[in-house]
Amino acid sequence: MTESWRPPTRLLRVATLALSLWGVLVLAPCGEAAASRAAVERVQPRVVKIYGAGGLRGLEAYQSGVLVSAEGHILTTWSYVLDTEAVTVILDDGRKFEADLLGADPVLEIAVLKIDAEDLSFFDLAAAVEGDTGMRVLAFSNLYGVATGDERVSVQRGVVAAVTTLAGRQGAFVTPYRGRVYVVDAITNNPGATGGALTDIRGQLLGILGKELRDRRSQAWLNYAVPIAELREAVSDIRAGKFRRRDPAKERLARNPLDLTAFGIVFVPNVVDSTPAYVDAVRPDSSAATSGLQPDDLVLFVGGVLIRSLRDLREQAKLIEQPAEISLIVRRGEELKTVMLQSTDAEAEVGEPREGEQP
Amino acid sequence: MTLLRRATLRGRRAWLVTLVALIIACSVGIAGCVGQVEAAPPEDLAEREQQAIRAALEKVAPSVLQVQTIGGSATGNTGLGQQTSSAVAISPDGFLVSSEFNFAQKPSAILVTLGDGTNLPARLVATDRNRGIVLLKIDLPSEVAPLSVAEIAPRDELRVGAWALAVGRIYEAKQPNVSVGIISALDRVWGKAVQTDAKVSPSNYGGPLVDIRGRVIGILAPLSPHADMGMSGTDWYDSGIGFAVPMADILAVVPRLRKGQDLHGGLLGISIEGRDLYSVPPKIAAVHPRGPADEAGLLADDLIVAVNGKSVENRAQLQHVVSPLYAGDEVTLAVMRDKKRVERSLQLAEELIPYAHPFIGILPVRDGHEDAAGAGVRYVYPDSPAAQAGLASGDRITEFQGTELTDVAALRQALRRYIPGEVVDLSFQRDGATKSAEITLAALPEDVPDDLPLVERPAGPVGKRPRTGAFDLKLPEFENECVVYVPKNYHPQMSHGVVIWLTAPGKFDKEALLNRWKEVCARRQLILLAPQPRDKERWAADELDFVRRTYDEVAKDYRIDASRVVAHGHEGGAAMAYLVAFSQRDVVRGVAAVQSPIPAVVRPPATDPARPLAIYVAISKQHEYASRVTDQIKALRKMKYPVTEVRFPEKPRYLLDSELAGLVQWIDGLDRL
Repeated sequence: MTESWRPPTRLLRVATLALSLWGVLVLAPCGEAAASRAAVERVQPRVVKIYGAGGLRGLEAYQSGVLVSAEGHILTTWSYVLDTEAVTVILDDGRKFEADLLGADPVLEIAVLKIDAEDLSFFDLAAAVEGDTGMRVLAFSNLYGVATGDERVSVQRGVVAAVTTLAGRQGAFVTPYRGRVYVVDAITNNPGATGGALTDIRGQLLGILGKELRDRRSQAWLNYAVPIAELREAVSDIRAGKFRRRDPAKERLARNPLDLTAFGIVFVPNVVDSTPAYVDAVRPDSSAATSGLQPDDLVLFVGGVLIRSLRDLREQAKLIEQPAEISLIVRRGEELKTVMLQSTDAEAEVGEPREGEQP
Repeated sequence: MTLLRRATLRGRRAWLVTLVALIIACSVGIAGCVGQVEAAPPEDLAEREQQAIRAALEKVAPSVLQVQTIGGSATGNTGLGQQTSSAVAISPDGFLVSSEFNFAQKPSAILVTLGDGTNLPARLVATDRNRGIVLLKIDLPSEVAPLSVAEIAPRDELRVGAWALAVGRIYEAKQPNVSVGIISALDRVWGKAVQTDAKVSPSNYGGPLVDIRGRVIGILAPLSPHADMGMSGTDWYDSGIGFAVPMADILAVVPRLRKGQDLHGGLLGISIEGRDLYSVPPKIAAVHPRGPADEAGLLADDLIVAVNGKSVENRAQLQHVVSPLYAGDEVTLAVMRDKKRVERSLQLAEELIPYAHPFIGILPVRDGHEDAAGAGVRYVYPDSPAAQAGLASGDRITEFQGTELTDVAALRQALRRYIPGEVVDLSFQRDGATKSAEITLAALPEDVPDDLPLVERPAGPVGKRPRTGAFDLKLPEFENECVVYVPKNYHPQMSHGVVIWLTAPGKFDKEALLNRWKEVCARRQLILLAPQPRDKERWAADELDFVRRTYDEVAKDYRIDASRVVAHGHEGGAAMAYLVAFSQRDVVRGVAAVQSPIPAVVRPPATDPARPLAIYVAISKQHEYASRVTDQIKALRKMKYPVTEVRFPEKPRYLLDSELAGLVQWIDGLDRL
């Protein structure tokens, strides 16, 4: 079966819109809109619209960016939109510039553009603030390209839903960036929004809106922004002309990947994708046997990393260097047990051979 | 006033009350706003709001725990079940509640992660299937502190428009995640849920919906008022509509759940006429033989007027009263029968004894002439009860169980009250003479007869006929396309079956499709309807509406044989066909699925006396889900669906011409009696 259940229908979208409009009408006029007004005034001149390549097969030819210097440095997302000679930047006052690409960091998925201008309002990245769960936030972006002509970018409001790392959601997201993110409780990550600004209610910069990202397992869209603290160094490197290119996939792979069978564990056959990591047998006289590991134990944690299935174990193992010793947490009956595995095979290990052991 | 005084007494809450007052003032209108701006600077309000959100989150946080599930049967990207989810502690000694959704894949292991990172194994104690809630238990080792239990928001304090935070703990074990909104409605999903516009999604299913004081309103769950066949409400996520099952309702059944007893919704054992929820009075179309309503003496054609003393005027109101109840609960129904009010009490059932439709063994004459009463016999199935009783084609059945039959429909309706094995009397006319026969009803056949006779075309001129041939059907409100084929020999006095063809994703080929069906449609009075998915590569569950609408359009303009409407699909289209058949039971009488199991998210509904459904399955032995299909066929037969099975030894493929001919015979026989 190749089906995937696609969430919401247009009708529901309309219902959402109706509901949120209601929210705006009923709740906003007094406190919030007024509260945000000063922040909006502060932020708008610092956010730009970017137009470039794309426009075909559902790929939008526009995104957003933030000014990070008075002389026209722009921080934005590294994407196909920038993959053209002619990248156009439109400031909040409608002025239009051709931009040069100074450099990009494919792991952080950011790029720095430069336009030929002076005395611009900008965000000082050194002064960016940190967000935390429950914080009221505003998002500024060129979402859906609705801000045509010299209109300013759109503003949305929400709260920080969570501060987390994308790596923590193993394999759920297809993205080279695996660092810290602000998950935003608002539908901020729409087409064209990437590169926009996430600020607190005072208009202080928190982060840069990320690309559209969908959880492969739950099919839910993730709305998120990358904290400035994660980007600061890369931006100054690019501005200083330092070459930055790393292959994220290669960088994470272990040179000598973890192999639990070397400790004497035999796992059950991997029948389906979700076969849990049950111990089928323990080789006599192995470290696994010494540690008290038993057949039918279910391996749940390897070196503190949660293992959901044999396939998961195989994937995780690629990232872990074969250690001299490693702790496992297994479920036996209704209990969790911790066992330590120690290498008996000195050749393959970093550790020194111990007395009385065969090489 | 008392509220104000209490606020001054308890300093910490004072600002909160001010905030609430402010919000109420704002809600009243902009006029009320102007005055308030003076009192509290707006920046201050936003800051306070932020503080209130954080305070509420902080208060509830210790009782919201992260849950990890390992292993289980989930396959494919059905979005069903997830590996990291949330739960809420309801007792210090380790009872938790969560959403059934998080455990749908039946995990081999469940772990609960405490805020400090401690992992404890958990077991699933019991499930409330009516409200989609599970009870979990962890055993706390002595060195682990008792769980902190959240305060409950009293139900009578819930107000539409009040703040509501949807809280989960899926990103980090140390920190909950939050979505902020308001209470949108109370008593939704047939009285079983509170509705919110906070974002309810896999990131917080199983977590709490809390008020601005951090008190738990209910448990977030993917409910849907339309979830009548196991389809969860996950497709509503990010839609501004989310649901929480009120905590009071959950706590009321926790004692039963703690005993390890699963709870189920209760069934009356009746079919209601029509599918409209609001405009049609709830008249009983059929009583499920040996179901609670049957045993209590309720009859088809009874009009339900009250349930448990509450008067009901339509199906929606009926559902509102019955749906929150559980199997085993007592219900009193008041019905109007022959202008008299009759009351009957019954106990709701967890499941009905599956209803098998009876079979006499004939194909009736279609489109019978108005001047002749009764049901004409077009064909007698060999070795059927009818054959044994000596019926032959050309006979006309005029009486059933002593009652005169006006037409075929009358016989069809009368048969709904019987099951295979029962003995019935019927009278029939042959060459002007009336004969009678005693028949032991059989079960519907699963084998397809080799050849069924063609239907005679009416004599006389055809007259004006609607559009024939192949054409596109475009519905303005949908992006989807649809091809219709009406045979050139369409006759307005002959009823036509409808084959709703649901293409395998990415494989739609109009020419090949028409070549395959053109001649068949003309020979067997069929109309081909081929709605296509929006995205050529996949069907989406929300496209059910589109499929249904294309059928409705065709049914408006052509004479449709209601007994021969079939959803037929290949691969992903076959999965969609099941979905169409199980959800559009008022029109679909057959589902023909080629090379696909029933999707994991779809639970086949019980058979319905008034809405028979026959199933045709063609599957390759080499198909990756061949064994699952075998299990599903077994389960469907147990539910008393007639299942016709075709197996291929070779690699998965569509039907060959000879096999398609068999499918066409199967469709042609669906109006059997």
